[in-house]
Amino acid sequence: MAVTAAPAWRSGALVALALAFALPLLVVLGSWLAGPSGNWPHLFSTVLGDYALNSLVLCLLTGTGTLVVGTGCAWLVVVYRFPGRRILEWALLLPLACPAYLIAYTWTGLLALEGPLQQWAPFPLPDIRNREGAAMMLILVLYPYVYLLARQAFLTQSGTALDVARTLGAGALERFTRVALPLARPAIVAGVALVLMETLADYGTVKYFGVPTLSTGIYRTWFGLGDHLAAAQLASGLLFTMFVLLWLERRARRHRRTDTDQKPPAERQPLTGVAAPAATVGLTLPVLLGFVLPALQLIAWAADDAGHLLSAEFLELISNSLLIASLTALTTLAVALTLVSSHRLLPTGLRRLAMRAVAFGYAMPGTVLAVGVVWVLGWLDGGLNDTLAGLGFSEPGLVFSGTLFAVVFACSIRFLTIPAQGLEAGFARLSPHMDEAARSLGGRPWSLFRRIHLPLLRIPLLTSALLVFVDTLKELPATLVLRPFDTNTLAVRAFELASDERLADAALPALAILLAGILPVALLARSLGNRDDAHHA
Amino acid sequence: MRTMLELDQLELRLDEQPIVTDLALTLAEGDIGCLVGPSGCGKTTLLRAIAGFVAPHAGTIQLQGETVATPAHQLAPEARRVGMVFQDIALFPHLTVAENIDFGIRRQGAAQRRHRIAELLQRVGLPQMGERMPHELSGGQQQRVALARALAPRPRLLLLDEPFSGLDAELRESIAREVRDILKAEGITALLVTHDQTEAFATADQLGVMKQGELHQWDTPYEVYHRPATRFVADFIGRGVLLPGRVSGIDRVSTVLAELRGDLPAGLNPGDPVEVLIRPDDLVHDDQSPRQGKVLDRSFRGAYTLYTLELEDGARLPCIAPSHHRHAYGEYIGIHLEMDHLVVFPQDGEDVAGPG
Repeated sequence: MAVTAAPAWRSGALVALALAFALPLLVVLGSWLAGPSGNWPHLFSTVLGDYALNSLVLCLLTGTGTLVVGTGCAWLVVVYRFPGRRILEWALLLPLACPAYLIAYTWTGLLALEGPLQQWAPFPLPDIRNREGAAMMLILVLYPYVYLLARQAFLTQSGTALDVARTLGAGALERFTRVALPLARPAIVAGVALVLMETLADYGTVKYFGVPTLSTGIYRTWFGLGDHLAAAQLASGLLFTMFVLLWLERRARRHRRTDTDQKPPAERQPLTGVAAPAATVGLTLPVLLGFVLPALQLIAWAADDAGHLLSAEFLELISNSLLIASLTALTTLAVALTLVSSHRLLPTGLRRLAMRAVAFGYAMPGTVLAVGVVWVLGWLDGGLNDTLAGLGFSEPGLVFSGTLFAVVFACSIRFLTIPAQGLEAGFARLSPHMDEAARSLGGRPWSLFRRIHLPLLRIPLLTSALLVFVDTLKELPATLVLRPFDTNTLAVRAFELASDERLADAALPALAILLAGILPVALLARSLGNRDDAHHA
Repeated sequence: MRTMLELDQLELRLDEQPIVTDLALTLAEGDIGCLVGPSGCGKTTLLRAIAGFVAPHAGTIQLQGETVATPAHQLAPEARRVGMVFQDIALFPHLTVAENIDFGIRRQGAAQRRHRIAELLQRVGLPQMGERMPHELSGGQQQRVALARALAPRPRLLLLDEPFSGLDAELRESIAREVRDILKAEGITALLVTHDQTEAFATADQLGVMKQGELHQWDTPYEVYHRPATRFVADFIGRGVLLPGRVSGIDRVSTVLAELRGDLPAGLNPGDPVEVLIRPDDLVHDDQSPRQGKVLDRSFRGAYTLYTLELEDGARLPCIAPSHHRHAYGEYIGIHLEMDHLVVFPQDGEDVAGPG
């Protein structure tokens, strides 16, 4: 291949770009270079045990809960026929639209003494503001991760394997436990690993319920104890756990069996007798509890508060959120495009490393990320001010750490992997021969990119932009820490109001987040339908 | 012998489309039946119905005199004790070879299971392979494991759906024979579906020919080949041509080759136009014969040579000659007919053959 070598400065710039995005991560890990914080003995003897125990128990409960709910729902939806199956198949994804902290405070309102449910219930409703309650909330919104992957695994399993089991005398339960489940195990493990990552990263739910975990502990060590070093070192511990989970998830994905035979799955069996309505009710429950009831409660609250819809405060929340989310979407898109289309500029090994570092961003819990970003941008601002002062200029102030830049930077690190993966997959589908054809027709690299790649990558570009936009809108902990003084977003304001027990006032921003959250779920639901059609074709 | 499988007036539909219509057959205990037919003729659907995956639209399925399926009620596949070897083999990828075979006999005692697994591995010629994973086996080996797995619980009836289609052409016939030996050694009744008649001839005690959901004939391979019941069977099984002729007497037909004698189907009168089935082995190459055909095509097959000859009136016939008889294109060679029975179809298209 006669490809002209890329100029060194362009390769250098790419490496610098990737490095900039990896810097907060490196800072958190590198915090140990400064030696352990003096507060460790104190942390050990007081709170650390609680943090670790609570995080562990949360992971156990949430992991088990999502495993059972997600796998069970997926199995029923794939294998059986019952009233409402087609609707439930995508409706089961709806709870994904709801961030856990929103559902946590909505359920608190639903179950409150003066709430709508207690009026009808003949017994006192349980208090969910504890560790087990937090696990419940997390299960309700996180089970779709397991459901999605397990459903896909069950669908692509050879239908014949189940038929064979039947001819060998295996009943329904046996077919599930001895054939379907072992075959789907890698996918289910990957789903649970994602759930555990989200559980460890959760800040809003546990903070609101007053459950001290590693995630909230970092925040408290930073702000309460004022020990930035200990906070970073604590964060590195959480990060390490995340790496283990990420590795587990990757490994599980690699072990997913690619079924060579393209036999469509066995025909769905109709459920008979009580089993049919039982399945319908059983599968409606997660949708009801994880989406419908909270959404109705939010709508009811918001309706009382509709007067504030056009208030200056609410409009400012909206514009701030839109601004941050759009800037983040644009930034991640630009960086991802640069990285992904760099295959001629970087050696393969280096490029793969960059892509992997990008993926780690998603594994960084908001609080960990905030610690790293504050540290990095603090240095940058300090250096800038000192330099300018030394040159006789006036100090510009905190241009990086004190502005929206910090929030956008943090969110971009966290969500960069979404467009990076989307575009990587998109590029992989483009035949390299097309590039060669275009170049042999005299197309130059830039015009190739503009006239061929960009139009063909329209769908992954738009999809990942939407996903980043909505995820940023929902993001709480990093935004909470990094936002400029007095700048509020929908997520931050909803959380603050809810924390102040002003549940109804929080409804309007919460509902806005929920509505935005439905968009990517709708996209996902549509792709389920497409795949199904492909199967029947 | 006792009847193992009996199908009666069976009609099968998929999505309201009739796939199999008014089908009846019986299979005796210990026999190997084989259904052939072009793809899409309903063979696989028929097997799936016998296994219990498809409910009949009409008719009944009986196993050892027990009705297992009617339109109103079907015994579940897992309760039928009907084993099946699927076209795509479908070994459980997460289980070893031994565990695959063990799958259907888990409720038996441990010692008994171990013995059965060892016995079957031996029988299918893979005695050392028990601990292997399916993806470590070749296609032919996987096929044998699938067979052993289906045999393990000693099903009443074993169904095999195109079991050799995934194998190399050279392997097929030898594996088909091997499978026949294994089935016979196990003493099991089996019904096999294929579109390849070589496989069918290599394995079947009873052969059925299906077309578009109808069973045209169900008989021994010899009868099906030599006394095809319909024009389609004559055409689908073996080589041959239909030579035009005319009924010249109550037991004779005159053709360009010769006047042929034999039983004719009822309802034919002298003078009626008919067609006579000529197999390549009915036409013998004979240098002494005054009757000659012109060599149009020649196909060397090793042990013999298959000629295509043209007669005076333009009719074309296949003819088998010993391998060392070499004749050039355009050359005239002597032939004579050596038929021990007559297969005659009326020329008006009525699809019924004479009793022979």
